Amino acid sequence: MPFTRFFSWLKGFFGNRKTMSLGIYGNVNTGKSTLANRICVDWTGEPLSEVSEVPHETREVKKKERVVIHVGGRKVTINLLDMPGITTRVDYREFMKYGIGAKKAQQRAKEATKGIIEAIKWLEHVDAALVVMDACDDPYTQVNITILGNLEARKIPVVLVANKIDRKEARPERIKEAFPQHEVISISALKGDNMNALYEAIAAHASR
Amino acid sequence: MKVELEFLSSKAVQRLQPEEKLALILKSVRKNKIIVLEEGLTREEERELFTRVMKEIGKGGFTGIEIASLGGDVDAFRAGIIRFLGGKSHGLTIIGPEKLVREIKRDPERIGFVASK
Repeated sequence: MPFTRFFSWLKGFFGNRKTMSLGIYGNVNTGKSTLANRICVDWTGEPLSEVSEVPHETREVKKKERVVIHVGGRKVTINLLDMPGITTRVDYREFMKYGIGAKKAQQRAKEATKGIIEAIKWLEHVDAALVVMDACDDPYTQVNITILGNLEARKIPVVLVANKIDRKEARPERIKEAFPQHEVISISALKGDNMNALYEAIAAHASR
Repeated sequence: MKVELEFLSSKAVQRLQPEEKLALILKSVRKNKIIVLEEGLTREEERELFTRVMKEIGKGGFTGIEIASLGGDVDAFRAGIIRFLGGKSHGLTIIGPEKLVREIKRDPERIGFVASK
């Protein structure tokens, strides 16, 4: 509508940068929802997603709009998108190991596959992405390579998040070695360690 | 235990449209074959393959794929030039059914696929 366009032009003219949509991507169980919750609790006081040890707890894209981050004297507004974990395999029997019945496990698998398709579609629409990796695992997986390749092809800014550094076996340096072209921020979303460095990195991308 | 490997030469891959390539991969993997593409998939094609795999999961007991690629981080412009000069624009890709592939050992220059039933 012309009026909406005029209003958005006016907002831009007076220096209100548009809200940045920030997608949280990564493999299954890397702590994406824990990170989304940490960001939301830090800046809005409320969590966004449920978390559990069962894989594919997040089976649809969860959104938190207008999260305002204050860092280094700057104010950044983001629409946060917690994406389902991306994988190339989903076996409902895996869920049954966590005490889920066969029927519910099959339903969960169905929802998980739909969520993954949705997350993949969103790769084209985010303004920036946090790609979360478990610092205890081998980062050189095809899912990570494919996610990063697609974001790079669209010139979408990326920050790699080496999560779970509170664990003894964490080796975030492996992530830096595997993807030297990207900025890597080591954090523990669970404990809230080094979150300020991550907020600074997000703010830096928002002002570019 | 029988494990069937299918190799597709660079020429054969280049003859296929992206659509045909993905259909062929899915067909082979669903027949429990491990398929090796001498000229691998682009990151875009990989992404499309992930989507298609998700749509297939649950049909006839299909649980997904394992995939690994080697090299091939070339942008479309450079890929076009390399192809024009008769070279391979993308690295190798190996794809197998999740049920068959137990482990993938990889680093930027090597891939190991461990298969068992």
